[in-house]
Amino acid sequence: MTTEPADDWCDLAPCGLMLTDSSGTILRANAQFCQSLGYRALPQPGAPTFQSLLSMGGRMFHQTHWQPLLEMQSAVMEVKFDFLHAEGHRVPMVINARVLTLESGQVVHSIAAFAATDRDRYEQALLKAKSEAESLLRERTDLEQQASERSLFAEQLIGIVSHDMRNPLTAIRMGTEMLVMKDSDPGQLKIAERINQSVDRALALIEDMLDFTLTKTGRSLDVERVAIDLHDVADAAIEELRWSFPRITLTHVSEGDGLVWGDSSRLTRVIGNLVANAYRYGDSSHPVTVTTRVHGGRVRLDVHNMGPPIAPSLIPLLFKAMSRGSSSHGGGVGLGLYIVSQIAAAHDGTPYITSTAEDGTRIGIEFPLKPALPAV
Amino acid sequence: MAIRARNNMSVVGDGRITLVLANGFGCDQTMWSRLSPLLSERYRIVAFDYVGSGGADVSHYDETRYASLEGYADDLVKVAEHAGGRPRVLVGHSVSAMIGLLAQKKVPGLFDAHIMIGPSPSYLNEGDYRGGFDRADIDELLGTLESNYLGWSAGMAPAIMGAPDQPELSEELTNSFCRTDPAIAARFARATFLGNNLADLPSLQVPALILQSSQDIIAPLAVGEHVSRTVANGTLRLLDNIGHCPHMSVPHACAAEINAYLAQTLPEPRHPT
Repeated sequence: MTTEPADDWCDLAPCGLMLTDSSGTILRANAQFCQSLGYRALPQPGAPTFQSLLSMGGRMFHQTHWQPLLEMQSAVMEVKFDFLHAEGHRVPMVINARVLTLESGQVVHSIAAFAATDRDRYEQALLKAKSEAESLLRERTDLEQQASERSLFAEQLIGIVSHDMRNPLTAIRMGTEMLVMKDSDPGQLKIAERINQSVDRALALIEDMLDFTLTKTGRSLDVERVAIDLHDVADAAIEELRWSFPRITLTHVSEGDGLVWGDSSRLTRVIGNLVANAYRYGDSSHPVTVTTRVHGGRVRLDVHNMGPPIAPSLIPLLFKAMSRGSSSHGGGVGLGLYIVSQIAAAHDGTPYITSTAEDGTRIGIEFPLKPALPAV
Repeated sequence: MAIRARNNMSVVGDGRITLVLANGFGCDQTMWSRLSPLLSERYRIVAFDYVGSGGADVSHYDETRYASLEGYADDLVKVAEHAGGRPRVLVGHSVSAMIGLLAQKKVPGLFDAHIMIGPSPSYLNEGDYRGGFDRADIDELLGTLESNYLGWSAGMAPAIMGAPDQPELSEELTNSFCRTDPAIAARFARATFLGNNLADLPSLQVPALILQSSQDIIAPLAVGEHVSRTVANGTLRLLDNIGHCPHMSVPHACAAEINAYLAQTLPEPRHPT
């Protein structure tokens, strides 16, 4: 150790100070630097260079990051290295360094090292917490993915089963009709009619389930909007529904010119689902009224029934799949109104509902007379 | 896909031979800024950044694709094909020499020669082979990366003092290191230092110049010797240099070796009179 005053001053500094040549060979190190690493003096035969004081991983970082940065920028600040203590253990220190050219023309690295044991411990804790949080997030993402796959599978299953149930049901219907073709026994005919009504309801449910699967797997219902007479479409639908629901009185109220642009089979489904709903939840001693109203470029198609009102809290849920107004009535899986709302959406419209004890319940859809022109 | 933008490709200089400069782990193409001006008077120079570093488009980063050097090699193929030019030579530093080896294997004839600066086909000591490192060293490096990239992640620029005489350089480099995501750096480090391309070396049939630093802990002399002996047509040239980046610390010596090698290996065709 030299005894020049400058060195004494350096030895008083509460941080490690070091001068190396441009390849890292230690020229001088102050007392603090030596002390923190357990050396009486540096350089030593076993520790000739700055990088020889680093852990092996630190040396790699030194070569691949620190040294190039220092060469290009003439300075690097706040890099944390693990140093090797003379006794073998690691000493984390934060390093600032800059490149200096001495009067002699020699290029040297001036290095300051700050003890960072506490900072290192704190950072390790932070890193650990971060990695734990990341692993929790991964776990959660995996679970969500699994749940969504299961749900998609269930929806696809509904679609497949529904589709495959169509054929046997159609066979039952044809078989029943053939059985009673030449039969005039009123009792037999009655039974055949009931079978057919049940089959028709099952087929309607299948249509709903297929449409439900379609919309739940991210597609929209196919709708072909052409010029139709809505009043005629409703009349035809009601005529068929009278066969399916012989115990209720179905009436039709029509207002305005019936010419609208719509999909007649989809709108027939709307009437069918709404009448089935009115039958299921309404008071069947009162008539059920289908209204078709075309006025001012808007179309309203709804079904009205008397009976106990729907609780206001349930109303926002009614057009969602698998929700039902009441569990006390049998039949259906709560898809009917969902399909109605999907058909409304496919006609650029919305479903609506009003329900009071005095005025009964009215559920329907409203949509523009003509489809909006596609944006150019 | 726009390769030029994805890999932040840059072209300077003009010449008969096109050199594709591929930087090693931990750096971006800024690392060529000392060697490139020495070469650009004689050659057409194409440099680029790997996805996940420097000015490359990080939105193309894919964890699976870049979990091994294969993904980087696929990118190098695209970059080289986009660079065009014949003859075309790869100048690959460190891990990029191996990425180049893999790229040439995928597309024989991709480069007419390889210049490998500090190559290492395997960093790990395995059996008789001395790569220089043990698994624990690599883990230590990952730890150092993790604790240092933290402060360098988005928003918190490293307090790197400017280079007073080259302020624009400082800005460029500061940004280049800032932009490296610590997770990306760690994955690249794993792909680099845990990869083993010893078996791929003999597949390199085109001429290869190995520029070996006299003292380099990342790629020791014995490793460079092994590479030059094992490729089909290798030439080893020793540079008097301490450290892993001779293209930065002794760029003139590097340029002189490259010039001499290319003049001999890919000479100007003689036109019949």
